[in-house]
Amino acid sequence: MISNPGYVKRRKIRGFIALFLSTLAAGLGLFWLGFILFDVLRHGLTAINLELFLEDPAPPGIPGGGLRNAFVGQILITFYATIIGVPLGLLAGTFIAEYARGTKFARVVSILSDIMVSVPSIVVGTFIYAIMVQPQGKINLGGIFGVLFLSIILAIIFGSILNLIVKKVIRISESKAGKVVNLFVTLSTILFGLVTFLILMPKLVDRIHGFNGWAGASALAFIMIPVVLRTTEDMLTLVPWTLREAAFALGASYYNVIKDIVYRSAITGILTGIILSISRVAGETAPLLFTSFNNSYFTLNMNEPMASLTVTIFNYAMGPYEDWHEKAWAAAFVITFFILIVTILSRSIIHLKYKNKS
Amino acid sequence: MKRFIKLPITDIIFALISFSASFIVLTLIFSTILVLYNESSLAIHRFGILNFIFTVDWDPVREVFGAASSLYGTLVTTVLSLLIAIPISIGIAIFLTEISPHIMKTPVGIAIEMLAAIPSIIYGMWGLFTLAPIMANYIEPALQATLGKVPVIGKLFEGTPMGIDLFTASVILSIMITPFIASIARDSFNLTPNIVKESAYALGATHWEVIRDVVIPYAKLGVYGGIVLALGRALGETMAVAFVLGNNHQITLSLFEAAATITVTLANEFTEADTDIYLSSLFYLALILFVLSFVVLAAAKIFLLRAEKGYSR
Amino acid sequence: MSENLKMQVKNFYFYYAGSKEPALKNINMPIYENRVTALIGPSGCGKTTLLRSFNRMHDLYPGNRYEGEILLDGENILREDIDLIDLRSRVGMVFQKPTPFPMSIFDNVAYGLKIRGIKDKTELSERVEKALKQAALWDEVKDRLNEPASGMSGGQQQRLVIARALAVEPEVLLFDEPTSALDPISTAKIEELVVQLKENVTIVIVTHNMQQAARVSDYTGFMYMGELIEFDKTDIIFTSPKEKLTEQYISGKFG
Repeated sequence: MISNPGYVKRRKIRGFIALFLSTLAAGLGLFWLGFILFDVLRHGLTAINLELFLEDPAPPGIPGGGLRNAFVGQILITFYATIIGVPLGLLAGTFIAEYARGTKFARVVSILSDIMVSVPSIVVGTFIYAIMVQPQGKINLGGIFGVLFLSIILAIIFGSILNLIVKKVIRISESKAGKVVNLFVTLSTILFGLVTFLILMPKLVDRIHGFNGWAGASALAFIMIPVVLRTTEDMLTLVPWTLREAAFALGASYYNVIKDIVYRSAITGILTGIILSISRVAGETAPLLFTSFNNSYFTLNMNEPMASLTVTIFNYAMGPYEDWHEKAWAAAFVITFFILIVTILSRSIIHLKYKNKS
Repeated sequence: MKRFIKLPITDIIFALISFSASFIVLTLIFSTILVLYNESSLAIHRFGILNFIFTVDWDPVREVFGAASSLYGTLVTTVLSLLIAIPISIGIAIFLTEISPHIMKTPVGIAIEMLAAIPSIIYGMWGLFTLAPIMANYIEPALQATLGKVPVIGKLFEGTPMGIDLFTASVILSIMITPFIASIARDSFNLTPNIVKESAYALGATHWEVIRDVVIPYAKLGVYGGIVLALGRALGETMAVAFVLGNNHQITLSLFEAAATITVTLANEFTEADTDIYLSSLFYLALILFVLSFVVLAAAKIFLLRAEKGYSR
Repeated sequence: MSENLKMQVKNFYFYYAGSKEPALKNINMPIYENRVTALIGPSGCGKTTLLRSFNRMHDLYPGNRYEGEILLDGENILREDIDLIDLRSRVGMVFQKPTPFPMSIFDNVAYGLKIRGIKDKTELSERVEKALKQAALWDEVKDRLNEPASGMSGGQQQRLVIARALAVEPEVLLFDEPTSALDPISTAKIEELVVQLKENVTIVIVTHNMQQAARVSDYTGFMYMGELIEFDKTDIIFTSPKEKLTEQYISGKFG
């Protein structure tokens, strides 16, 4: 037999070196994480104070003031992005995981979403700029779409609340009376949607030009949609098909099966996915640079340019004043730890929930 | 199965609503291309395609625009960051799947994924305030003193080390994309059947030989997918490089010079574009970036899908 | 016929990580040179565990513990200072399922040689050809040595894996239910191969298939609940076993 002790030793040494280098690589990864977090923590903690949250910025170069405008703007933009992005992603994910399961259409949408997840976010910014910021004098397609969409969402919310109230008050769900009530709810929902659209249309579309908060929210929603869609699809596919069959066997409609069985079984996963997608867009800067832009004044009006934490960090960090740098660090601290904590929490929820099942 | 169920009216409505939602998603990506093309048509007519790509000038005053300098910066930072990130990420994946004791696997894995969760603006800011000075004062002079003396390669390290340059940007990018490659590589490594690894051990292979000759080749497609995915990320990353690249439209051999990428150009100049042709050229850049990353990401997806198929066989 | 002892198991106990109960209890058995020894028994009886102790496969997973002795040519392979790489080149193994590596047919067979530092092209191809001929695969693959091994049929893959193990010229070859994933025709080929191979190597085969043990082996050990109940010449085990348990098992009363 070929047995060459010297060569075996060489192989072992080579192996040891390779494994040592791998360990070193892992150490390097941990080192970067520790280094960055430590720096953000160190600078952030010294700069953070109550005024940061309660006061608006002082004029450039003058120390003091806070970033209230940016905090509020960030929350507003992220909130509206969630309102726009989550229902779209959720519904689309439901469609391709349920009604269109296994079809080519579902596959194409799923793969395109996977690609959309990684599309450069700055390109999303330019796209939204083109349709929602720039159009002065042109037909504002983005605005019309936005308003249309907003009215649909509002109508759905209105409809479900009305449905709930009516069912609670009248307490009929069976027989013909129930059908009449359902018809009434449906009709009034549609009416509500139409009226909202007509009221909002001139108010928003006319005034949306130039940088505005809606554009920022839409850009973030663009990024959220594919994330929510893919999570929904994955989580719904995890629900065993036999569960649906059991419900069909009881005579339930597919809509009821989705609403009562599928969503209920997948709710933890979907919610965590939504929270993760929110934390993902909360850290985005590039898509906001030329959509919601920036605003050194406090505003709640989404039709105006709106400050956000991330864009403020960019401007302040690149700016010349020491005071600005400190504020940028403080904002960085808030946003980093918000995102890290949310990420860790939701990941451990997913881990706990799905570890037991598999 | 579901085809045999009669659809009641609520079902039809819900199916329609959810279909429209998925249709909107489908159209989003195509309308992006259309809108970007429409907005850049002015520049496309003025500068053409090849001419735009190979023109180095980027001069808003003379209204001459070319993508070459931005493309060059994008290319250099992407390639360099991948060169740094690939070996490190594979090392991390090897550590996580093969070396780490069981109790350390989850915490180290989570820590690496944390790196991916940190917003890119934090990377950029940290790069500007912390990494750039370290680069300028220690690492770049050290590189100049060693590699800089080597003929030919030395050209890469010429100039005054300022820390605001291609090299620093690439290092930051590499830190950002490392967790992407590492986690995909780890998942792919984990799919190597135990029995195949055991049979390599049974032939007298060392731990490292098993990893090198069985685990890594087995996971090849998945790792390629991860690398291409990271390539897509690196191409489109804006904020991490915007702080430390200097937005200087030039093509230099030295890595210690300020430069511009497509993303950095967009971030810095989009709101300042005061003429139609300037803005249109910026849209043109965005279109090029979009098409580039779309192609790269589609390739990554194909790799990953084929890898999945391979494993399920 | 005169029998030379190749391996000997003496008072052998095996504990899986974290378990106080031994998975194998007080095993004593000989393994004769150039003979086929079969291990049979119901699933979970420990036959595979015992087989994997012969090349210390259990060392891949921390916490597993051996007690007692397993001698290979008189040397205890359970000693701490035994070089596992060396041991495993002397004691090869073939698994339940075909395990081709993700490389070409040639490279699969040459793998064991290459990691041992053989780089000479002619020597490599000679040895690969010899191993493939031994594994009765040469005629089927000689024209496509550079194609990936994953394209072969299951039976071919299993013979490729045997050729790969043979290429490094082991003294002992362990088979862990080598035909459990194969169709009857491929199974017959592998069985034929096992009988032929004993001219060159000592073979230990674990099987859940009693007919297979009867067909290919010279000696058979019957295991039950981590113990070796009976060990003897194969024809004795299958015709006149001494233990009642053995008789019940081979007559199909349980298992």
